Amino acid sequence: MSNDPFEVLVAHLREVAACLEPTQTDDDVIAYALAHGSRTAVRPRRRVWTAGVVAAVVLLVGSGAAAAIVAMRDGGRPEAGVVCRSAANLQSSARVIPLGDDPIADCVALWVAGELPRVGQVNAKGSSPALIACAVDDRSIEVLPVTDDATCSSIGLDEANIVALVTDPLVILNERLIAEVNPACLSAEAAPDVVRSILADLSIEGWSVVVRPGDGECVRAGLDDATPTVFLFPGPPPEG
Amino acid sequence: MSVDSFRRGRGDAGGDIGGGIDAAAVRFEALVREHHRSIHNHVRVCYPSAHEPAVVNAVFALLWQHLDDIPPEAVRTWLRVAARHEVLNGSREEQRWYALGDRVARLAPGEWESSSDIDHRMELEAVMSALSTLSPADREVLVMSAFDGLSSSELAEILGIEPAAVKTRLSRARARLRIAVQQIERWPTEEKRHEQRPV
Repeated sequence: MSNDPFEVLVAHLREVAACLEPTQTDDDVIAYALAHGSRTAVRPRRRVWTAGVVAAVVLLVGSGAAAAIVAMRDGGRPEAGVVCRSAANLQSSARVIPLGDDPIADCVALWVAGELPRVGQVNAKGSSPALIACAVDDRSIEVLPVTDDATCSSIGLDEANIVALVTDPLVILNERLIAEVNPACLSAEAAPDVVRSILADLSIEGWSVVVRPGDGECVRAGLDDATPTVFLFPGPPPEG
Repeated sequence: MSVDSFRRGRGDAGGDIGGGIDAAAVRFEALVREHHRSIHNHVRVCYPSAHEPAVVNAVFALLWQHLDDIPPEAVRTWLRVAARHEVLNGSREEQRWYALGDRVARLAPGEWESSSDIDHRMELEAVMSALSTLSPADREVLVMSAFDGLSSSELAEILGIEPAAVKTRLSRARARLRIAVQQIERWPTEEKRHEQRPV
């Protein structure tokens, strides 16, 4: 038996470590990182709006305020949607939520629920700071905490035109694919008709629907507004 | 949705769509599978008052973000540096991290219930009590060193100090632990052991 307390500590902590089990699976951690970690390195543009990423975030944050994500462009910013920032700059950590009628109210809900400023850590005050909604481009909104008389222009952004965003057909198409195609486990044979009916419903013309090769009984949709195409990826059934 | 399906979906999309991201995702997934458990354990043991899932998620999200900048041989240390930063940033808000010693004691597994080795049990209780009386800096270097088997240079990088300073800090912390444990009545000195053994 050792009489060196440090050696006792070593032995004990290693025994403890052998008993510990991660509280999350590897897949949970990977999905969270892919959904929340903004890649800053130079890389090819993500042309397809990945339904896979969308589904991962819904799975992970669905227990809080209704949240989803829209496709992320270079640097981890969304092609469309609402980015609830934890601080008044575009480098701060953030939660991305679907576009609703009132982005500020939706972000306030995340602050009050303790999902901001740090995911998973309760906001001690259970309240929200003052927020403003600013536009970075024509399809996404940054909702940032501000103090005093800060405005969007004072931090180098434009006032968000929420009405224009809410009515953008491409944004609505993205959200309808997320809601109606991805969770439905549609077959590769049935899904194209569903997508075409959504396109027709939104009066979106000139788009193609392409089923990519792959195994699996359920398809997930992804957008490429450059081509413009809705891709359908066969895969396993959605979890849950 | 599983990560496999995420990868499969992107992979099937062909090389014309995000092939570079696929390669990064494959490397990232391998790193998570290699390091997740050890980082989970590291956070649980070294920062037991931290919200472990949030810290682990934040650390691996950062890894994904900076994947291209981190050489393979540096990942192990880089993850622990990131975890420490994440925990310390959080602790400034919540001031909870300093309960370390107390919470480490609660990590004791079932062998505490065993009466087969009274000396070991007494030692362990005494060490945990003594640990909780030390400063956060002493506790951190002791627990990190004891638990993870990190080298001086790795510890130095994680703690943000010079390797020589690590050796000094660890040596002094061990000495303070030894002194503190002697103050604990349960610490089984040779005399106590002798007294407790059945004749």
